[in-house]
Amino acid sequence: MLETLFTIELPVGESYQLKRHRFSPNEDQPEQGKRISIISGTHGDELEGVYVITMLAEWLKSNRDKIRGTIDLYPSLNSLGIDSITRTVPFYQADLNRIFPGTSRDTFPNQIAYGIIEAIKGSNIAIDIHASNIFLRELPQVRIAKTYAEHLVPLAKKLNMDFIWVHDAITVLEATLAHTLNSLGTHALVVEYGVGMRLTPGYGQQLLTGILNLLASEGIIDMMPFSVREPCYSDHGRVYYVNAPAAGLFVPAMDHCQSVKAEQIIGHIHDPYGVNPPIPCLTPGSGVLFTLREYPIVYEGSLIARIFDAQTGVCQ
Amino acid sequence: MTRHTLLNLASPSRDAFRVEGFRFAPRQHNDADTSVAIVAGLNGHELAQMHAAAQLVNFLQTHQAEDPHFITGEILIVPAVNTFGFNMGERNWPLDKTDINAMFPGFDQGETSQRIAHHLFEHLKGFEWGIELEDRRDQYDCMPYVRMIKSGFEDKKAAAYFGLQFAHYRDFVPSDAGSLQYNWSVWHTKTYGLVFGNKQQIETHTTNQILDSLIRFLAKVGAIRTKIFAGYATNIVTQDAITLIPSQRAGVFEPRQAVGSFVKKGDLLGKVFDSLDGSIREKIYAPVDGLITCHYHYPLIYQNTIAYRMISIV
Ligand SMILES: [Zn+2]
Repeated sequence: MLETLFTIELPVGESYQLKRHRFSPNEDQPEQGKRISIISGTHGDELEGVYVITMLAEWLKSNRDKIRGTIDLYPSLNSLGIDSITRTVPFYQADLNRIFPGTSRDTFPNQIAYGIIEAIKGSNIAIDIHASNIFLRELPQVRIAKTYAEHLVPLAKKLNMDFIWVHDAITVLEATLAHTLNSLGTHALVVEYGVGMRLTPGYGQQLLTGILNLLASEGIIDMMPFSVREPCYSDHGRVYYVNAPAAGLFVPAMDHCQSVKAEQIIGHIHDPYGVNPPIPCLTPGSGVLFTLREYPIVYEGSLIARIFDAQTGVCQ
Repeated sequence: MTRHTLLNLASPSRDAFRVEGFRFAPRQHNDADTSVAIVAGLNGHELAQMHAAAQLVNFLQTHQAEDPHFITGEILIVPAVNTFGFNMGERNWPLDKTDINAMFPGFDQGETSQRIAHHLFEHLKGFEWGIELEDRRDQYDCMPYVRMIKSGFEDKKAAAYFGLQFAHYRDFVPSDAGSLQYNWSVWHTKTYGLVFGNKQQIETHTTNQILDSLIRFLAKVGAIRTKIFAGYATNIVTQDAITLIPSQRAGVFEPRQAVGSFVKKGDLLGKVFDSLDGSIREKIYAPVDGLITCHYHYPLIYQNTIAYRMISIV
């Protein structure tokens, strides 16, 4: 059932609408069983999650008899942004994922944030799917703040992702959708993979299997759980960052998500004028290259790669 | 006065990114009574802020040339940080669109804008007073005011040295965590935000008012020796004195009261018209007596957007 949960009048002949596609055993009853919300489109330039949600909707329509709980699909929170390749909320240039929980009477982006929380709160589980931005390509991963790791890691392991990254709490991330939902008692997981403005269909299939596995494990669909991959887990290893040592044009020499050893060449930074020779960027340690720069122009400091060192971890 | 390049970062193709600072000191450095750093233009839309800071550089330089005893403290002024943004009409760091003023205290091994914040902050740490000149990030026209964030290190008394009509004293919010103002206070600098100006515009009247405020502040903390008008007795305003007045409807917004006006409960503040058929959708009235500090200033308004901000004496 497609529902419009709230609207905000726009100045000229249009309104913003928060829409949700809800699946439940009996559409006449409001909510049944465990409730899960699958979310994407907080950032208008990230489309990977929209694709997964369309595939999940197709699967659910063909398997209505297996539904035992409430599954809410929100593909496009920042719908003005999704429809116009705009990462932020247009006009205000506000990063929607930095203003939660929002307020009902303030700017347009704040009202959207507030309405989203009102719609989703009360869910048992939420999965907020992000692509990377246009600058980086990411291996399928779940990101979890340490504060909530105890409850979230067991759920994250069901999602068929390659990597679970447990990071320290950061104050500015307290204003994200996932943090706000977690603080309200919903187990909210952040999934991130691929690259901005593009689709990586293989990763989409991988996450779809993971979501179905999670739904089965939680009794939201009546099926045997799938067998899924065992993710690397960052609490048992360390993450190396590789930042550009100079400005120029970065040309990778490696594939994303390959295993690397220390002192291998990730790529070179070229001087556009060709005066200085290309500068090599080296791996600082061994592990899995889970982030690789996609957008070539770099300044000193631009992120080139992230490597998860699994030497002491659980990666195979 | 001495001019220093505080930061120099090579670009792939264009000219290097440079941040310039202007230092003033008493003839004998160890005679300095105090130290003040003033930073403007952390984002590339803050034209009025850059201009006011640059006018202050000029004022101090002229007076120092006339009177060698004019400067009595250490003063550092940085009129523009995001010079690339200024040259492109962009608010943020142009490549990755990050807000430099959300990156403090910075990180020298991190992303470009974190490195910019880090290197800049190394020059800004350790001052007794820190002043950040800022615009509002949203679509509002406001009276110039002083912003103080509760940090345990704020000085409410000295907020009045600027002589502006009010100072907004508010709680810390998570989005403050990466701001220069907040991080200064963490490093025990007594800090103020001076918020004024319309996006991407310079008004001579406001520039002069802010210049006057900064000179007054520098004189009162003992960084310069000069005579100046007393200014306003500043009201310290907390959240409970502020009234937010939203428009119930979207459309074309016509403000009917200017900022700085005193209004009575029931006075007409503005109208919202249907953008297409021209009919009046809403009239907005003052719900309380008070001073109008801000109004929404773009002609198109969204539903439930704050149209006016007022302060009242409570
Ligand atoms: Zn995102």
